[in-house]
Amino acid sequence: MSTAGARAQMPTLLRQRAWRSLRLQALAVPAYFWTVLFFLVPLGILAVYSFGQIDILTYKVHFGWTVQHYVDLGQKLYRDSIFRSLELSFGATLACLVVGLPVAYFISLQRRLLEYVLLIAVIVPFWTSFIVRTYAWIDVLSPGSPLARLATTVGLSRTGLLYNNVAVAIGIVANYLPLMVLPLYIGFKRIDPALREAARDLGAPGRRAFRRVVLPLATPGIVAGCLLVAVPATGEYVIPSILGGGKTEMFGNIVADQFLTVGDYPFGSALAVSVMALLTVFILLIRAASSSFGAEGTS
Amino acid sequence: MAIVTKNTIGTNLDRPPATASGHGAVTLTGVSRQYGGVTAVDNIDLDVADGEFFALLGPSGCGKSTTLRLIAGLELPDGGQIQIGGREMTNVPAHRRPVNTVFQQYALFPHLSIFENVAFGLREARVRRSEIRARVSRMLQLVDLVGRDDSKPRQLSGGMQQRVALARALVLEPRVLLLDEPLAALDRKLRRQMQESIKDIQRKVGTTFVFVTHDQDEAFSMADRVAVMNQGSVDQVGEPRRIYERPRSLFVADFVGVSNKIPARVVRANGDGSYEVSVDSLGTTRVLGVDGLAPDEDAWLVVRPESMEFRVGSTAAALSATVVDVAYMGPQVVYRAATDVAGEVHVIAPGRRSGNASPGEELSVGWQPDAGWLLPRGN
Amino acid sequence: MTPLWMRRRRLGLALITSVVLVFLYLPIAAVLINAFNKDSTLATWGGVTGKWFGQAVSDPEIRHSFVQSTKIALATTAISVAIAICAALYWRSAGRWGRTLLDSTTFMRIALPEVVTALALFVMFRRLNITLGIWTVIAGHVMFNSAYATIVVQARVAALDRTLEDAAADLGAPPRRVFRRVVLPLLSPAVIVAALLTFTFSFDDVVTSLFLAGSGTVTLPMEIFGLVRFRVTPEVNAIGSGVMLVTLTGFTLAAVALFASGGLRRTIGRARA
Repeated sequence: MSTAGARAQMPTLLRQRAWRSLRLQALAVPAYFWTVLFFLVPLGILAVYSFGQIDILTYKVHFGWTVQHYVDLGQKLYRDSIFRSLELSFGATLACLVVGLPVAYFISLQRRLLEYVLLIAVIVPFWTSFIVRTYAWIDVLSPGSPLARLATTVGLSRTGLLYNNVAVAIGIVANYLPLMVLPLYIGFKRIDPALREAARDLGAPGRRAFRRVVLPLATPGIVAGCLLVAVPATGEYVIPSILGGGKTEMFGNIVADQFLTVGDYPFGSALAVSVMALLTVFILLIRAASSSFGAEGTS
Repeated sequence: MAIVTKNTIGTNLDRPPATASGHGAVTLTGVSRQYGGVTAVDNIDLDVADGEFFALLGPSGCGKSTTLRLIAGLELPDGGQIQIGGREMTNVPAHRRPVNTVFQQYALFPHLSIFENVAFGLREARVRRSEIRARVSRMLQLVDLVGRDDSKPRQLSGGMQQRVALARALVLEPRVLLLDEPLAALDRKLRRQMQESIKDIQRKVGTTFVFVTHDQDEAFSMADRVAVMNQGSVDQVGEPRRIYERPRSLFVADFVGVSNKIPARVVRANGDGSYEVSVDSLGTTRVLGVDGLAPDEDAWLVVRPESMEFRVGSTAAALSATVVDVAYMGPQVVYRAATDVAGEVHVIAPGRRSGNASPGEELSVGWQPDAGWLLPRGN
Repeated sequence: MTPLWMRRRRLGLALITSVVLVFLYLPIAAVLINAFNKDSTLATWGGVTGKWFGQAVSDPEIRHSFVQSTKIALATTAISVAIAICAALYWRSAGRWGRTLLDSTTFMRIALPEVVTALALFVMFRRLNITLGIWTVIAGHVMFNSAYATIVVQARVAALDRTLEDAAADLGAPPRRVFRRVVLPLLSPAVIVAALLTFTFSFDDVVTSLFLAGSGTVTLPMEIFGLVRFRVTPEVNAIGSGVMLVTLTGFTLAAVALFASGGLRRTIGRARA
């Protein structure tokens, strides 16, 4: 008798639960809708286009299944250009890392008040407009400016600091440095200070303790910082456009050109898909490498 | 030698006291609850009387918190029936039950003031503003927390937050108040104070309290009756004294105190709750025990440390032992002695008694015949 | 007493940090200084003037693009925050697979470089013969901003104590009231932060706006982008200062809101653990 009552209410209970579940699923719809319609579908279209062909005269696209464009990418011309572009972005990422490590480490060593002040000082530039920060380097690097004059007198550069690779690299480092410093800082903070003292106690002072103990343990932070900078830097469009002066073409500009100027959608799509694939492989490799290295470091 | 039967130990309060209303405050019948393959509550029956202070006692994972949540309506049972105040409430959701809960971490709303926290349920019940004000003030006075109406929970100490949680639940005058290990986060001194406060409040207000804890001291000092739970089942329900002196299983015996276990074998069941048992080096004696032991069955003869005493010179009903360790605790002295029959036993003697034994001494330990209790060994 | 090598190292690090900070603030300072520079050439200083600001504010094109940027940012914020709240509430009650799927869709939207996602949208709109304009820009902005907003609100939802909702139900509040009286008030700081972030990201956006605005729509960053292609005029510096003010205000308010609600303490606290 006791369970009969509960069981008789089962259909209504089940219906109630089903209704509640439906309402729950409905909440996810807006996010999925936007993702599918404005992210997945466009990318899918890109992928399909990359296998199509364009008639140069009529700009009409035939959707065959050709891998010609991917093959074309292998041509020396494009291959070189892509690699140069990747060189620049990864080089800038490395520069960011080299510059960011001492800064992040220094901040992590400070007392609470100074620590927060320094952190905010590093973040605030990031809060100012991206494009304004970018074009401002034209001011700073133009041949007449104090900095450029200093560089030429010191003999650092012959062709000037502007409208070339150097300017683009400087722009990337300046704009993305906070994105590198923050994960590095967090990575350093995660390390138990007792470990550093233990290293000292066991005979590894200063720089050696840093190299053998702190740096390996900070690897997650380093990886995070590099990913946060390298991926967007690879796809940079604004910085090369403004500071590159037409001579420096990064992947972002080349691809955009194909679509907006040349009009060769299929080729541009192939280009985009290829670099995306490269980036994805790169990310996965880094992830795999860091997890095994991290395990070593903590064992 | 008079045989003391189990009926002369306190009153037989395994069953709830009869109440005027004729039905209990909370009745669980065959209630069970599973979580993904694990049975948290396994077909339990429970009967809590009106106005009683009832404790659910057990180790972590025994299902006591889940049982509480089932009574509160925060979980629905997979099987069985739940009645509150005599009314069928098995599938009634939490917000419609005349039950309120004091949570382990207090669960005070951080964005509301103390006053608004306590008034929360009253607002839900659409009580008039003037009445809310009166009831909240009265309740805050009762829990001794006056003058902090506008503070936020994070500005109060743990003890104060706990009292707010209590006030918030009590102000709704529930049929049953549930408390889920509310004192677990407090330090010992505060805990003791709060135990006494809560007990006083319960007596004053007269509401049925169901209190969950893993602390045997806490349960015993506060509750009228205790249910000892283990792995989803209720092993025993009764007054603290009864549970301590007449435990139904080895688990209960070990959970509520230290048990010295002496191996024994049942010779004969006498039918009146006593058995004839044989113990190595002691011969045959008569002891009281749990129902259902059969002849030739292996059993434990359980004696509490405070019921054991050292005897110089050998008598019947005494084991030979060598003192291993003596710990002077102030009010008591705790001895550990090694016996050949029963392994290591604990003996507790009053601290001021002279003639304490010292390590290495060889003595006999014995006990009064009615201080022994027989439990099955298979447990 | 700290050993000499340690002090020297600290000094070295301090020096590097100072140089880096100067490096970071150099462009900002350059813009601000030259916005007030009387000389229209940027290599020399000619005294303080406000005329560039006057020029910028009275320029109808600048005014128009400012309005466009604001309109787009507001619409983007409204839609993105709505999506974010729904997604976060779904996440709160969803099972493991539901959560994983949602997190993937959130993450993928910001994992790819903006150029690629913007161009993909461009291609799709062209293919479907949809004219590029304000609404295509908004669609693109919402695409990635809703992901950032979701992350912010979802983080708050994840930190929400489930017991509080139990307590509210226990005290007599039916599910809808629990939501209104407990969940919503506790989420509102995160919603405000998300809104401020979204507005600022949208206002400052260049790439997506450039590709999806078509011929009739110009946002302020697009305007700046066009103006600096050839040379940097003082007027641009005035505009730039204005835009920096907007974004700085947006992010600062967001940070203040985050800090006030205790969120920052939670993040730094975790880092210290």
